[in-house]
Amino acid sequence: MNNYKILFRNADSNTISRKPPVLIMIVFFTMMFSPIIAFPKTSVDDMQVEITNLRQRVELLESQLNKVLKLVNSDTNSPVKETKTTQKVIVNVKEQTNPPLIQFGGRVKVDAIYNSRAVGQTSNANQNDLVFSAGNIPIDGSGEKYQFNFNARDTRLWLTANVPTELGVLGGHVEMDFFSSDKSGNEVVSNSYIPRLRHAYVNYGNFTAGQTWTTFMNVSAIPDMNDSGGPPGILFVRQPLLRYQKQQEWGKISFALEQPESTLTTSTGARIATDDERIPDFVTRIDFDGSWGNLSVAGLLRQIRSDTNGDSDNSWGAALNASGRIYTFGSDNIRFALSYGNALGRYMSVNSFADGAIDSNGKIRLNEMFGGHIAYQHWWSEKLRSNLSLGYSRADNNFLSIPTLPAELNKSLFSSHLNLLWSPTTSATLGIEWIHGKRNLEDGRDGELDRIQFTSMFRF
Amino acid sequence: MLNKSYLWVLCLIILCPNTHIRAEETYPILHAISSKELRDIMRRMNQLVYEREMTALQTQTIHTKRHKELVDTASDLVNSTDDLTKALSGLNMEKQDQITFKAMAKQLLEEAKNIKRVAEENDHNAINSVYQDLDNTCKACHRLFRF
Repeated sequence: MNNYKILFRNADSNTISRKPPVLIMIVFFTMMFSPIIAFPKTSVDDMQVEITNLRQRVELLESQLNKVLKLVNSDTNSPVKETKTTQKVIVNVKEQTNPPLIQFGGRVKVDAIYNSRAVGQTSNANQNDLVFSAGNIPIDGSGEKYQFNFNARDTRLWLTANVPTELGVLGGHVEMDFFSSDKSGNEVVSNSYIPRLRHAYVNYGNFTAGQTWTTFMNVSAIPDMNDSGGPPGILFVRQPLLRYQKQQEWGKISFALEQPESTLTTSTGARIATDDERIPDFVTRIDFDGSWGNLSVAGLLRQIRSDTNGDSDNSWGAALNASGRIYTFGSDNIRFALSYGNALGRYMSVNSFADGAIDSNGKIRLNEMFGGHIAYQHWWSEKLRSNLSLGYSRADNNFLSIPTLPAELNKSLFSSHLNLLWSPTTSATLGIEWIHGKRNLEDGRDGELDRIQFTSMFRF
Repeated sequence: MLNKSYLWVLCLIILCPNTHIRAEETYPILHAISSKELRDIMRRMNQLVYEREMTALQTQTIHTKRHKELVDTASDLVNSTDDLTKALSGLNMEKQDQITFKAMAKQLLEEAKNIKRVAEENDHNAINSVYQDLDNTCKACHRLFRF
């Protein structure tokens, strides 16, 4: 009984908006005592009448409560309170529709590759036979004739996080695949391959810090292909960097300091990565963006340095790149890139050319290079598309520094790619691709390769 | 001789006040432009899932940017659709046609508002079906009134 008193006292002290407890108590109280009143009659019919009466009473109370709530709401028609209500609704909608704070995703990609001529390496589990690299095409019929390979090493896993902070959203991304060549698996029993880091970076406001695609390349210009290497002439580097980007109405402007590394051909014909740099690579890029597509112009400034054998030398080099994606008819588009400079080296054609040469006195001379690719993507339907891509790159190797020609010094590379890709759903793509590549060396020899690559890819 | 005839015809078309298109009559075409832009943006947003080398964070950033474009274009569409009925007086239609035109313009306006609302709410699952309704209205109206 004391409990009832406490409940009534609370209800009495409350405002009109807290009527539901009173209502519940009335219903509860009535229900508690109704058996005492009803039981003496002990008739089921009487009990049902009582229940009906109670139901009607509850309905009456509910309708009265609704009227009261309406009155309360009508009293809150002032603009400030209305805005609050609207804001609440919008926030709720956003909470429901925004992506989760942490997203885990990836893709399972299986490639079936048939090479007319294979490098046949075993030290890194056929890596050069799985990812097309025109700079590694076997010369004059060397390597293995015809080879078939299955692999799932281009499978990727990634984690993306968006962390709200007082100054804005901090976005982070970590991604890995299984193309590591350091400690490769083998095809004998388990085909086990260790993962490697592809991306690990954060975006915070206008800043990006971490490892990702170099600012010098335009990722949207990469052709849509089964092969992960790309045509020669493509810029393709992932490295640690610190980047500042400023968004504009017409696009954006970027400045970046990136990981330096010099690759040189020595006087004995060996290829070395010096690892002696003291100044980061500097990249600046301007992007124009619109409904027509995008176009970017980028500049690269590098110091190529070597401290080999106690002889120190460095040489400054620069390069320019123009690339983009232009929409033509419907979803059809042209993707292209054109680069020129004496600092392209490892940035172009997946490290097929050295940055320069170093003579026996330790003096560095840089190689001038140019290259580019053009690709057309045609959508046959919403689920079926084709890509035709052509790529070319060429280096003017500095012979003064290298009296002994390396066994295989690339002069020019060419490739053509044609594919048909079918995406029955947005998360799955099946495709077949034909690749033809040609490699020319400084000593006049060459090598050719034809490849058929079937790919099954599932994104999750 | 033939070239001269063409020149005369061209001059007549330009000078005749009833045949050449006045600037103020061209604005209804904006609704078709906005609708096409909307379709292109949606298509490109959908195709982001096929990007192979962009990171998930990069596609997310582009998606956010495209989403803003989508809302802006949907707003343009609402405004230009609202202007459709204003163009009615210059179209010399029969009374019955005017009623039908007004009704379809009203429906188009409602659907454009719907797209704007759905885009603002970031509900991309719903936007395709809402856009399909709008596209059907567009096609029906063009079938009836485009000559």
